[in-house]
Amino acid sequence: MAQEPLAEWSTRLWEAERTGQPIAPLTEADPSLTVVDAYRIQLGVVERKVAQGEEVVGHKIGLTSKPMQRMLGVGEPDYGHLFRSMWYASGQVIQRQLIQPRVEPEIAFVLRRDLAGPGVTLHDVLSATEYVVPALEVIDSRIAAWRIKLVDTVADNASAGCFVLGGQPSPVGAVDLSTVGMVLWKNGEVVETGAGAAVLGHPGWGVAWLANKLAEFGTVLRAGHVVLSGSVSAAVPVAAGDAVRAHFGRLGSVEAAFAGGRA
Amino acid sequence: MEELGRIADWIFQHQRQAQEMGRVTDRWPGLTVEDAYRIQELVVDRMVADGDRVVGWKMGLTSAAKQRSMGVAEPIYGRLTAAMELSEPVLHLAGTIHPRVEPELAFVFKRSLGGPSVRPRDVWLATECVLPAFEIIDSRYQNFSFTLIDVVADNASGCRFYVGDQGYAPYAARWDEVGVVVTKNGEVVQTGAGAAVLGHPVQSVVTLVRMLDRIGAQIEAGMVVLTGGITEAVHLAAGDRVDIGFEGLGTIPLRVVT
Repeated sequence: MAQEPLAEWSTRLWEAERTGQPIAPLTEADPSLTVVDAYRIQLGVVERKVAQGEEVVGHKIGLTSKPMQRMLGVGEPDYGHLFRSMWYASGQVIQRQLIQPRVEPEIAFVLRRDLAGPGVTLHDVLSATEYVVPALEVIDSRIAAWRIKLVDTVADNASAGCFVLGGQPSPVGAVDLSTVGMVLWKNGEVVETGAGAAVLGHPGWGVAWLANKLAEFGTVLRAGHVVLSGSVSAAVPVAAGDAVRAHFGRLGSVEAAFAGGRA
Repeated sequence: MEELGRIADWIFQHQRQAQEMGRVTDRWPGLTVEDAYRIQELVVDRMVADGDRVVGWKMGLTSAAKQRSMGVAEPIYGRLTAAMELSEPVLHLAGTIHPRVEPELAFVFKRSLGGPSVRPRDVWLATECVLPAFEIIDSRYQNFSFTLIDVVADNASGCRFYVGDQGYAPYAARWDEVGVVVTKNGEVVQTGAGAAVLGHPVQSVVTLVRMLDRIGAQIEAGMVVLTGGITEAVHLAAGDRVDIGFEGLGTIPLRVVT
């Protein structure tokens, strides 16, 4: 049994995000917290934001690579919520309070129709997708020094920070999304490369997992929503003044700059 | 220098018998990088004297991250011999120590290419085709632990290589954008893209030619050049099945047997 009302944790995480002051891991204070508790805590923060007028525009999927799952000792991905206020266009300068940001190159799916689990397959995802587009997810943790276990990151909105979508959408069949190559530059130097298969073998499987997972909570993926399907490389730390660009072959590019000085 | 010959004998024995050895730099302090390349050449001379022949070159340390970890600013090269080439994508562990596999793009040359100021377009003119390939690296040093000088002397950890059957025109793809997926026993273990190699694999050939020019060597017509690992090297054990997929260029299925 959780030692403290879950709502209290939601409040603390919300405060940490607003003030830019990270907190100690939840799991250190209360090892009894479960993953189900963690998703409730996450939803608690979502409800507070929505009550303040924020709009949910989609979801992000995390922990989609085997190495990441092994590092946290888990067997499946996790997910968080995306808000309109987190959304940047390619080339925009990101000027917002971030605590310890890292960048992940991803393929974003924008849905043409609702996608409701359980039983969603890769083909269901592909036929429900309006377009795919290169994306940069800026992950951030409200937990000090990224000392996260699964419960900590799930409670903390899957460590979502903000995200950038490329300007040129492609139909889902334009390229083989599992072998499509990705090159990530930071300040002009190649820092990571990868391919779509880094995400559960095919990024579409990330979206299918999400649709099926959300069914456990009685929700569905909505038409028009954005799904960040998971990182195709290791996350790269960024600081004020950095410029990053991800290129996904024929799917094109997405780039972002981080405002100079103390963001 | 006689000393270099003795070092070459010592390394040659360990390579031939697939035996681990201590660092050359511990046993013979004071060697330079130039000495190390000379030792590498002397070792390969011994292979050739035994009936082998040089068929090309391999590049190593082609990512900025690997160069930083070794404290160097340029890649290294090694020599490929006929005996190192696999005729089918099957690795026999006998004759190896702790092998790892790296996905690479291979360039095959129709014309010789040399000189101090080769440009990418000169590389394209001299290239007959580009092929998906893999390299088996296997350092003779204990725990794969070495300095720059050690690894150069040990032929840049070269062990075996395999080049796919289907060649592609040099202009068939953006080689820096080509995605690579390495699946081991059904699980995706590494992904990458051609740009992991010096921003573009053609830059690896440019750099090789420049480095070879320092010793009066060049890429000869018919030679193959392995441009460098596109992902981290993947450990191999008996029974492993490793599928190395190249975006739009097919998949090489590697089997590992005892």
